[in-house]
Amino acid sequence: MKVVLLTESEKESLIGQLIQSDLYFNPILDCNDNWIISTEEVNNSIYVEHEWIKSIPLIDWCPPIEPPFPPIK
Amino acid sequence: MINWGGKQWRPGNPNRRQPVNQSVSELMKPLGEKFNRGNVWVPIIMDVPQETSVSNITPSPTPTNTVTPTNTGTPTSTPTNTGTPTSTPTNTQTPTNTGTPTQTATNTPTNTGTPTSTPTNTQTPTNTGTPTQTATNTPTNTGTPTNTPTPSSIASGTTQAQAYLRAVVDAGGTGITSTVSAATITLFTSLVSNNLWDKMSAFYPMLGGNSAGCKFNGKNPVDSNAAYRLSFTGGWTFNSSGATSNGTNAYSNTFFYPSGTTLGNQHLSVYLGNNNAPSGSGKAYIGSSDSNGSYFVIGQDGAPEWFYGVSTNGGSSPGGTPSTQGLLLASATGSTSASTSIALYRNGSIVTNTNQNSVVDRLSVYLGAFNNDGTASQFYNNQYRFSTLGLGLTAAQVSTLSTIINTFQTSLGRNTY
Repeated sequence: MKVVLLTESEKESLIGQLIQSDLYFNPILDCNDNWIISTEEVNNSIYVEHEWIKSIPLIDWCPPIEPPFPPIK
Repeated sequence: MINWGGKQWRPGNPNRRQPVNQSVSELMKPLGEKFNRGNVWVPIIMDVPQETSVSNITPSPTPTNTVTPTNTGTPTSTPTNTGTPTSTPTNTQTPTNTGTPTQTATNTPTNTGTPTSTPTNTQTPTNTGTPTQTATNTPTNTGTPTNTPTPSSIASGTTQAQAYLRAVVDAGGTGITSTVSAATITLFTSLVSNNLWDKMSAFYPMLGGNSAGCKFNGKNPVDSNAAYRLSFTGGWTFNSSGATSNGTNAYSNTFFYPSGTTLGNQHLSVYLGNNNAPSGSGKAYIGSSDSNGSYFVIGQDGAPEWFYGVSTNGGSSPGGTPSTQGLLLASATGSTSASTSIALYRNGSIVTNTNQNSVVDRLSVYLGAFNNDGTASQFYNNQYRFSTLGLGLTAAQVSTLSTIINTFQTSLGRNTY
């Protein structure tokens, strides 16, 4: 699976921004502490000021190590 | 002394003496007849005053008509319309949206004829405006919020269904056909007639084919956090079957706080489209957990095995591989005592039942992940076709609710059982 790699400033510029009506960007860290967004967010984006995310190279998705669930048993 | 011609008396006047030979009838005639030889109108006709110009006349005072007519008749005219209206509207408008679309259409046509128009919606908005942030993605919980009561005690549910559908359409939702409308009205009226309406704090039919339509709570279709409107974040995709989370970074905040309802009397559910129980670190289909160790969640651990809790301390892992397709529902009924019966159901049938300690869960519930003390975690990939939040349900009520929801899904062609 591919994801979109972001710089720190690109990540900051997307936080709180709309992908489309009632849908927001959610940059997260991958296993290598890279900021990424999903390809679904890129494909759903409709605003011209976010067109730049469609030209960013993709990288392979490396899931972060999630805490065990449930943490309390 | 007056002298009357040398006499001391007034002399008579012989010229005024009446003729003695006139008869009584002659004496009775008008004087004009006698002077004008029998024509009494001569002095009148000949005495017409000269005409006066009316241009200089100024009437004074101005007369005021104060007569108020009173119609006491009864009209009996009965018009008969023999025409046949043949208006056939043709919509040729091709809108070009250059801003942030805000659909506010309120036109509600009343079609009494047999419409033959087959509209084709080809609108593809191209937004060039600057979106404005209207929500905060990372909520900060600083207290114990109280859930705002939603309207209850309604007559049939039809009006509420129509209000919900109107909200979906007005927000830009699509695919609300007559079939979908009828299924939705049946859904709402069935919830009311089976006394389940007041058990719901929120339920999400996931209609509209996009985030703007899927966000609405059927119980209170208002675009606000207080109305438990969904706020979608991350990698979601939408279509007529519902909302699909990507399992990477997608989640949706319901703004429903379990602490706002009665402890030990709560439920939560999701209707999922696919069987997906990956092994690994565990997944949360819906839920929240705060720092005091409480869980309001349906999910799985990494084995994978079921994991669920309804405002419970530690939750429960009863074992068994999750089968996630269909309606998954967890409910607590009874009391707030240290040992509350918490049951997990799938498609209306009980999966397991355990006693758990009730505690307060103070965080809002997420879909597609769980709210882990303020951070979205354990992202999960599946298609969300329905979800409910509210008061505790008995086994019989769960069975009824399962039938109602699945009937709705069947009408829409997206049922799983």
